[in-house]
Amino acid sequence: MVKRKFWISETILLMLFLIPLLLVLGITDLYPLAFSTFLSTTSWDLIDRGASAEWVGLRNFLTVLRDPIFVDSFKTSLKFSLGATAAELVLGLIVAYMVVGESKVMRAVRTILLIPMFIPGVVVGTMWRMMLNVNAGIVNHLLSVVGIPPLSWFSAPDTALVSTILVDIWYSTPFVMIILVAGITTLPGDPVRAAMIDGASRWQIFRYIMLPLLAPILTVATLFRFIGSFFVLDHIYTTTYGGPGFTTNVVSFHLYRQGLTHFKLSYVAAASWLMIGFSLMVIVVLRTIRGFLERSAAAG
Amino acid sequence: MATVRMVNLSKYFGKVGAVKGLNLVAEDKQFLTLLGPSGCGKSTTLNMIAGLELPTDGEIYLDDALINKMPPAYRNVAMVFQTYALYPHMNVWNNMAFALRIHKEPKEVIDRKVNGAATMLGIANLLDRRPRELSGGQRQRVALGRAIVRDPKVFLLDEPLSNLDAALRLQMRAELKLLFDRLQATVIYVTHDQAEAMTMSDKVAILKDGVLQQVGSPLEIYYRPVNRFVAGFVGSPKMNSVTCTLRAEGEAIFVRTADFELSLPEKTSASRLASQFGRELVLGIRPEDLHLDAIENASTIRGKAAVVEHLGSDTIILLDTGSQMLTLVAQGSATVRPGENLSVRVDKDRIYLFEEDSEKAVLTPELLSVWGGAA
Amino acid sequence: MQSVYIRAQIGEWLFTFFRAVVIVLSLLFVILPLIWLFINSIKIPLEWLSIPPVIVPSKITFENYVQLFADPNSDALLCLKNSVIITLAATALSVFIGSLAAYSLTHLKLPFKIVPFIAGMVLLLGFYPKITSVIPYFVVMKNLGLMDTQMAIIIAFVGLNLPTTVWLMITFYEELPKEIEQSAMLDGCGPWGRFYKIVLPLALPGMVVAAILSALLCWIEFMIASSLAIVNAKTLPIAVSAYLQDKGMHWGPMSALGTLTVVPVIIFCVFVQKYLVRGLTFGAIKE
Repeated sequence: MVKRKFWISETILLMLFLIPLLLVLGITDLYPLAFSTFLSTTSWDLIDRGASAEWVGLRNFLTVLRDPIFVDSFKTSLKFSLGATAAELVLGLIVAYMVVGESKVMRAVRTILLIPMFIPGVVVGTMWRMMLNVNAGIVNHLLSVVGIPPLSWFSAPDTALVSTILVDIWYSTPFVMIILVAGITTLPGDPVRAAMIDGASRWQIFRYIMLPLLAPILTVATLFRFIGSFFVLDHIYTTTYGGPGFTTNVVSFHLYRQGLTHFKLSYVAAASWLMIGFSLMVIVVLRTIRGFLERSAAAG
Repeated sequence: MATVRMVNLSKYFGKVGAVKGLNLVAEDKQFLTLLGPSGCGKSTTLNMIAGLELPTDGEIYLDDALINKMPPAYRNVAMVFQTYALYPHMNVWNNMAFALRIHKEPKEVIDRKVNGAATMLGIANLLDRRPRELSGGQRQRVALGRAIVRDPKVFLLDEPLSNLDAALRLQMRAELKLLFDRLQATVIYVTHDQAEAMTMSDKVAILKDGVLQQVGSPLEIYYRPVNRFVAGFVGSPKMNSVTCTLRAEGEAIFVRTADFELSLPEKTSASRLASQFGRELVLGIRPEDLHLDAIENASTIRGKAAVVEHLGSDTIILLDTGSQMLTLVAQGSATVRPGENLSVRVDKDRIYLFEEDSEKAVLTPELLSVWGGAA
Repeated sequence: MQSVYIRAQIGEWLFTFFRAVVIVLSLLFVILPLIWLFINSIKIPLEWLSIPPVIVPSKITFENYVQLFADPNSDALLCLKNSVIITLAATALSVFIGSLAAYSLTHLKLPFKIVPFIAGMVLLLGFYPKITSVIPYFVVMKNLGLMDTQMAIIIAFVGLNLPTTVWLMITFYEELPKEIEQSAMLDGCGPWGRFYKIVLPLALPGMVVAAILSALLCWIEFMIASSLAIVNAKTLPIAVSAYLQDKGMHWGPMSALGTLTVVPVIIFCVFVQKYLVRGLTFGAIKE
């Protein structure tokens, strides 16, 4: 009898512990997500606070998918994500391999290399905007010193996107690097030593032993960066603001503008859910690819 | 030819000496075991021979070539790790073929060697499995296969049987011995298990705290240990140690302990042991050299059976002699009950004496037999 | 045999050289832009937009920084104040609520696997694109009359950080041996007592990691804050973007503002790098 009461009061108390969490998440996530679902399937007008809202089913989704600007922004995002993710993975892996080690020097190096990811994105953007300024920027100046003509960076339609990829590389490679460093340091040491004795060179050990064993972590890093770069906003906001024209109008920026400047709430809601669906698809695809690669590695 | 010679080999980690001035040779086709407790430097030595650690001092020669700084890949040695170190993402076939691929051997050669080794080890049916699908014993065979396939000059094994259960370990001991005999290979084997060392080796090197204590054949180590550590380390159950002094009566010498006194055989002359009189010594008696068939005389050890352990094949008895507990092993099942008074006989040809302070051996059965012959 | 392994030795030396090059280049790539930012912030107006750009300023001035705060039109000070308050409050709240909730999630036993479900949901909420909830949240705050308040932003940030905090604390709690709590239970200690007196002190390192990650996230967040703040609740990132729009050509003060947001980050990183790495990599490895 006492025991039962004890357990009940325990349980109740523990449930109380959960309440603040549920309250906050309710306001910040659950309700907004539900409301977003509502928004995406109705025609909501901010002006009259939804008084004239009516259910329109999937019409909003179709509107979004048929909107040439959205489609274009998706393509832009795709280009951006593919470029940025590929570059960050390769660079991140190379740097990670070079900076593993428990010495004070290496730890200091890693700390310094981490800094970019913790600077506000808008500041990163502002900083690079100044550096890549065609006339007064330091980068073009340094290039001219070695004889390379000034590049147009953010100001020309064909170079703007690549420039934003460069900024993202500076901003996000540290994240990839630190994850891979952790992955490399937790690799089992004995197989590597066995490979050394078997006669493998440093490169062979990396390619045939380390890389396959890093596959899970590489997948995680790829996932984070690819999906994450679809939703990057901060530095685009301060470098190109979507331009010139629409050349850097990535999905997140497009939606941000539609939502907070034009208040097309239903549109943004529907588009967001489409993007979430897309993200899930990417996860599934990447997992399948990884599984496929793993099986072929085993078979030699 | 595959001889490994270690000259004054040392390895220091900061101030800590893992290996100190090791002088040791593994002859061609010899099975050499490095034996010792944890931390004695045996694994470090093996790692230096493999090239995974750089010596701090001294030289290592493989067939007269100095290999101190040579990268492991060029030494043509193969190593079997305690954890097997299989490549987790490759199947068994690829694990074994890896080294051959690295060395760019042609496909037919690889096929032949891998299949050959797999058949020899009885794992031919596991070739497409991955390490995580294998049992401990199977993994170990794959690790062995990986080493065999390389046809190396020297096989290095680092406690390969430690992670197996007791029954499997016994079985593998015999199999390994047969295997390496068949391969006619030079083997350097590291273990802390003295039974493994005794049963498998041509030569045993015992290390303690980085210093080589003794090198010799298993029987040499057993019957002519150089000090108390070596005597105590080999042999199970462990040898009994009792403090004692020597007493002379004419030509006869007596070993006197707190609870009993033994007369040494006639072969031992007072003159040979002259320097040991008046000093504290340690008497060593192995459990199997204490017998229950005592005829009461002055050299009988009397005591009470404190603990009796029936193993079926043997009986281990802990004998309380008053101030001391002696372990004795009797063949078969002895009808002894705890609390029973016993009279125990010592096999006088199998007595050990050690100096108290330096622990050096002063008298050993080997020595006794030598003196017996000489006298 | 000798000559072959000379090749290996050369190869190894080449690698060491390559490694040094990579490290130096990476360090430069990271540090130089930041140094440049700082240099820009101490230039006199004449040299802000020089063509070609001035690398070594002829005169150093801190006027830019002063201007940021002294200018009555500038709200840099306000933004700084807001950022600090919001970061501290949101961090404290998210760590507190998160630790409490994580404790519950690791100890509560309910039927139908409700508890793991809730834990899983909480984790999942950390991974969807926040653009989805920005607008609805904005509407909610508007309706509650909380637009442009610190409170709105703080709550949003707490929500942002809770999944990570909860996840981190759960893994930390799982490392603690159960026996300690069981003996406390036998001594008659209730959940709050056990949490406060026993588990909390032991899980402190975890809470430090969670606090660090939260603080960092709050300090740099832009999208959500900018949707909610118009005049009063602006944060530092908003100040930066606003400055760009209003006075984009004033590189001096703009760089000064940028430097101000960067310096705390650098100092912070230096002191907490150990905890930082642990927290960041926790998640990725568990995968």
